[in-house]
Order: sequence, then C-alpha cells, then structure tokens
Amino acid sequence: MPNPVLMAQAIGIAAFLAVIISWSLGRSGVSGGAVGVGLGVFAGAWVLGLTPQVPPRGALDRLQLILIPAIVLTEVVITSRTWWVGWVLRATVAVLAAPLLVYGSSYVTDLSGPGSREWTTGIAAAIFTSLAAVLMLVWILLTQLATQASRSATIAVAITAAGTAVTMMLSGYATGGQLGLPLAAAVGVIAFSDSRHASGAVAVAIVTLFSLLVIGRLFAGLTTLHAVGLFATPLLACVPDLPQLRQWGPRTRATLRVVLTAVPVVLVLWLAQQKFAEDSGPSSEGSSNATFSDYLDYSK
Amino acid sequence: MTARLFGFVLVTAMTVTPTLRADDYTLEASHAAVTFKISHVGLSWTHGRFKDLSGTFTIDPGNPAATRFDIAAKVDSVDTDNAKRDEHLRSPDFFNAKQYPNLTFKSTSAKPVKGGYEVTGVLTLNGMKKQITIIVTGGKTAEFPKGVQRTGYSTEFKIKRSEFGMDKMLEMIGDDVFISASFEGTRN
Repeated sequence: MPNPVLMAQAIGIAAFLAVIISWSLGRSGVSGGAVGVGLGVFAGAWVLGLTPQVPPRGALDRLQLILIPAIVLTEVVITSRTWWVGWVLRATVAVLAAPLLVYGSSYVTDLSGPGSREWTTGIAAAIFTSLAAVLMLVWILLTQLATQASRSATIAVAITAAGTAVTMMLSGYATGGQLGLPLAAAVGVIAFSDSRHASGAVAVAIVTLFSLLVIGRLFAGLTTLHAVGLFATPLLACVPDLPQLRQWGPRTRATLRVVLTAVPVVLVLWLAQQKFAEDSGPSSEGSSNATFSDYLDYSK
Repeated sequence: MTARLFGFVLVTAMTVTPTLRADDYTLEASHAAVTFKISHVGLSWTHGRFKDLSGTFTIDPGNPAATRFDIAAKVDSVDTDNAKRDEHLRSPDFFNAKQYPNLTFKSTSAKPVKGGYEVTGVLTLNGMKKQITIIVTGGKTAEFPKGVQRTGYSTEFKIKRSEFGMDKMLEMIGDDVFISASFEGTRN
C-alpha cells in the first residue's frame, strides 16, 4: 500500500531536481522548467518504484518513456525555434498522446478474439480527436496564463496534480496515482523560481496530468466526472483574467486563481473519498474496515 | 494360406480390442471454477475467483502425449466479494485487465500419472508467459444428461505473482498465489 515515507522522499527529490535544473539551465535559454519537471517526475517515479519497464508494458511505462520525453523535447525546441514550429510539435504530441496511452489495450485491439475490441474505429477516432482538442485547449490557455501570471498558474496546476494523485489512489490505482505527487512538487517549486521557466513547466505538467487522468479513467476506476472535473479545474485559474475582473489588483487575482482551483479539487477529493468508502463496504463507527488513512499509516 | 490366416487374425484383433480414441471436450462454465487465495498481511487468506471461464481439452488415453488442456479466464471477471478490491485488482497495480484481459493456460505436453496427468504448459498472466508443470487429477466419465458425455479434472498449484510482473504491494499482499481449478467438459 502507499508508503508515506517514500511519497515524501519522491516529493522532495522531484522538487529539488526541478529547482536545481531550472536554475542551472536558466541562463542557457533552454526551457529549464520543462526539463526540471520532466526529470523531477522521473526521479520521483524511481523513488516510488514506478520506474518504467523497457520495452513498455503498460500506459504508465509509455507515459514515462515516450510522452514525457517528447513534450520536454518539444518545449526545449520551442525556446530555440520560431513559434509556429513549437505549436506544430505541441499539436503533434496532443494528437498522439491518447492513442499512445491506450495502444495495445482491449479498447483498440482484438485481445480476446476477432471483433473483441471495445471501441470501433469510428468511436476511437472520435474519442482521440476530442481528447486531443481538449488537451490542446487546456495546454494553450494554461501556458498563455503562465507567461502572464507564472506563480499562480503553476500553483494552480500543482494543486490539481496533487488532487489527481490522491483521487487516483482512491479510485483503484494506488501506485500509479502516486506519480502525481512528484509532478505536483516539481511544478509547484517552479512557482517560486524564475518566471521564464513557468510556461515549459506548465506544458509538461498539463500533458502528464492529462495522461494520468486518461490512465486512471481507462485502466483503473477513476470516474469520468472526476477525471473531467480535475482536468478542467486549472482552467478556472483563467477566470480572474476576464475583462470584467481585470481592474482587480494582481495580488487579489493571483489569490483568486489559487482559490478557484483549490475549491473544485477539494470537492472532487471529497467525492472520491465518499465513493471509496461506499465501494469498500459498510463503514460504521467502530468498524474494522480499513480506511484510506489506515493503508497510508500501515508502513509507518 | 499363411497370408489369409494373418489377415484374419489382424481383422479379429482390430475388432475385438477396445478402441482408445482421443476425445475433444469443451469446458462447461457452469461446472468449472478457477479460485485463488493470497495472504493478507500474513494474517489471513483472501479468496477470489474468476467468473468468466472458457476452454477446450483433449483426452487421448491411447496416446497421452496428445492430451492437451487449453483453459482461459477473463481477468475482468475477478471476484473477491468486495467491489473496491476487485476494482483495484483489475487496475495496472495487479492484473491490468484492459491491457492484458486474458489469463490462459495452454499445455505443451502431458504424461500419465496415477489418477491423472502431469501437464506442462504455458501460463500467461499479466501479458507474461511462464512454463509451469501441474498435476491434473480426475478423468471419470459420466453421461449426463442423457446423450451428453462428460468428464472432469481438478488441479492445485502455486505461482509467484512477482514472476508475472505483478510486483506491487508485496509487503502487504503475499507473493505466493495458491490456485485451484476444477472443471468439467462435455464431449464434442
């Protein structure tokens, strides 16, 4: 079961690496935020025992071995090329992300005999197109926000990543969900680093967050409501930038961004906890049924 | 004359000697079970089963090497009488049911032993294949209902889940999985 000491270590090493790398690459013009978050997630995964298998055997392996390096590379290229090259690369990653995650699964492959795949070609195409469009939309809006309000934007994404981690752990994917914790730590510390790193850090975090939610929904027990709610949450950080609210001071708007993100994340966490308790059987006072915190405390 | 006599003896022998032919069977899911038990914190055993089973097998008493077993279970049908635990078992932490939906055993050789067969085959679990050898006992036959010939076999064996890439939470949930399978098949 989840080991709180390992989780704390994963959070610590991810945050440390993200800060050190973004600081080291700060003057080189390379997106230190993207590289820092990417390596921070890898280091956290290593601490948590989630090091990917080669060749990849599951969606989490493909996320770590292909998708995260691809987006880090994209963000590095973006800083040294014209803007349209960067967006073509980002669009490519967005289009390929979901198909890569479900590759070889029973959704798109006849694993149990001819015609056994769960999605027809048409349905798969519609789902992949929708997911790519949603990912691209959130990616554009959040990276745009990160260039204007780097600190509150990265904090909003970090809160969502942390909420995603715990929600996934409550939704039947106890180990995979933990990857959201080093992600939250890595992108969270970028908030207090050089603002130039925020856009790349947010880009890597959004794609990783998207991937975790897709994995949680399609391969574990994460509900569609919780997955959609969590991925849409960082968009609320854009609300204070609406024309009607722009007259408010920057500090007020920054606070509002964080609060608007935190409230729905807490709500989703509460709903996930309720579902966990319901699915775990009757739970009354004095019940011997283990709670989520019991599992967290077990290895102490 | 000698040739005629030899031919007569041969035909008589073929007629009188009982034929030991290979029989093909289809697993009858309503009389089949694949159950397992695994240690929880070293204190007790958690029991579970797979509800969706299928398979075929061939029994050839005259040529035991031709005897084969081909049994499959849908891991999505895992049932431990706890919805949350079953959901967790289907996740990539354990069976990764959407990526590797089938648990299969395909025999590669069999030899007769007292009361059954020693069967060697490939067990595929979590997308990983491993050769195992099991003792399958049984083989009694019955006609039930009338006109339907059936036979049945049972086996018990142990695997280490970590050898099949299922290496999460080993500190709480045991590595050794004790599997018990019992099934009937109706002759095709």
